[in-house]
Amino acid sequence: MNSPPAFIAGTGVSLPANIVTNEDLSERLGLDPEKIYRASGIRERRWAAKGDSTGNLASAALRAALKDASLNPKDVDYLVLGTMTPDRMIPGTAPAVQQALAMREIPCLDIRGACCNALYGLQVAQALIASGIAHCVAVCLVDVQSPWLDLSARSGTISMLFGDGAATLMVMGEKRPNSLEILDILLATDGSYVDDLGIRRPGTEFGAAAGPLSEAEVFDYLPRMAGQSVILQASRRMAAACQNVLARNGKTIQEVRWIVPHQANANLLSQLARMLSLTSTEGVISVLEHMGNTSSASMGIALDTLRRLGAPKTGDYVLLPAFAAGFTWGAGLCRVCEP
Amino acid sequence: MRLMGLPPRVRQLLTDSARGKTVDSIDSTADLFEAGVIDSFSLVDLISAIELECGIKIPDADVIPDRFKNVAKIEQYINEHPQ
Repeated sequence: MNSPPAFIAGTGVSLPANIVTNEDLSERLGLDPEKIYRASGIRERRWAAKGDSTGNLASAALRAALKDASLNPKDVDYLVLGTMTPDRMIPGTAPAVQQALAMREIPCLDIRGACCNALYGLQVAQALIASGIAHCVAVCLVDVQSPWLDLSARSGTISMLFGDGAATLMVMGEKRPNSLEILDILLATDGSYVDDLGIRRPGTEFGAAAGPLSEAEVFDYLPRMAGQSVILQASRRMAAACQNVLARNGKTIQEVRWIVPHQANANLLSQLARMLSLTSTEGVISVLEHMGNTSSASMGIALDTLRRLGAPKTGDYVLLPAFAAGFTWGAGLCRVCEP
Repeated sequence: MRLMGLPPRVRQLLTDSARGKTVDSIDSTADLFEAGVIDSFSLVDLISAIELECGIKIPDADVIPDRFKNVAKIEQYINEHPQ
């Protein structure tokens, strides 16, 4: 029996106004601006100002997505919010968004799939629609990392990457103009790499340090990234996920017109393109140069950018690869519907 | 660097990624990362080339920089994992 289809019927983005260039960061991070660009493909990113909370950015992106899909807040019957940087420890940030938009008393669910939040959110939304539990699901994707970054040379190669931002994908059981049909989402995890990417504290495993922090404890509160491990595993796992999701849908990479990856690093996107034997990267959407790595939001921002290009044509296949802390990774396959 | 024990495509890849460095002068036990011959991205390509050239599938659990950090280790891995 075929499941009822699910469609990305609208998209919206919200970015902080504050632009931070490589030149702005160079001295503090001890990195030459051009070196940052060569290592990442990033020239500038947006960083939150005071008051740009995770919930506020997500709410603004949701308003934009609702407008794009010609919906109003009362139409939404399930809210999923993916973030690594919630407003509060408890409760999740989704209730704040529900309140900000005066939505109905719908289920509100925070998810923690890190940079794979877009894929996890889409999979959950697709399942909710297929099961009949919901018909209109808002998938809010948002991160505000800048307040927690270490702006010193010891963390330069990590802190240079991240930007703040939000995107929302409206997932529905019916099409709207320029919808994307969600054909399949493939996700996988290998928890043996849990310490190669992430932030250890605060949490129950390492606790929350009381009093003056030792050097090791300071690092536990900062993003940690085993660069070589991340690059090796991300390149191979994302490429394999793309090939697997295509194979199980009877498609080949040659049939894919657009690739909208998690925007981690331009060199990683180039590596992925090589591993997929792409003859051209013209169909690979990158917003890294001006947005940086916006973590949970990055794939949503890139997808919104693709839809606004006006270039996708009816029937185009769109591939969505991502890789995240965990490690967890995956790929989605969508098809552009008629205008 | 003693590259002759490596498959041709792997040898070529190492030579290309050295980008002008005199790879022949590097000892087979010298760290290729420290010598600037490879970086994390070229290691991904190197591992793909080993798989293709040697007809083996390298499991993700074996994809660790330390296993491929010098020519001796690369040769050892290939020899221990025949087609």
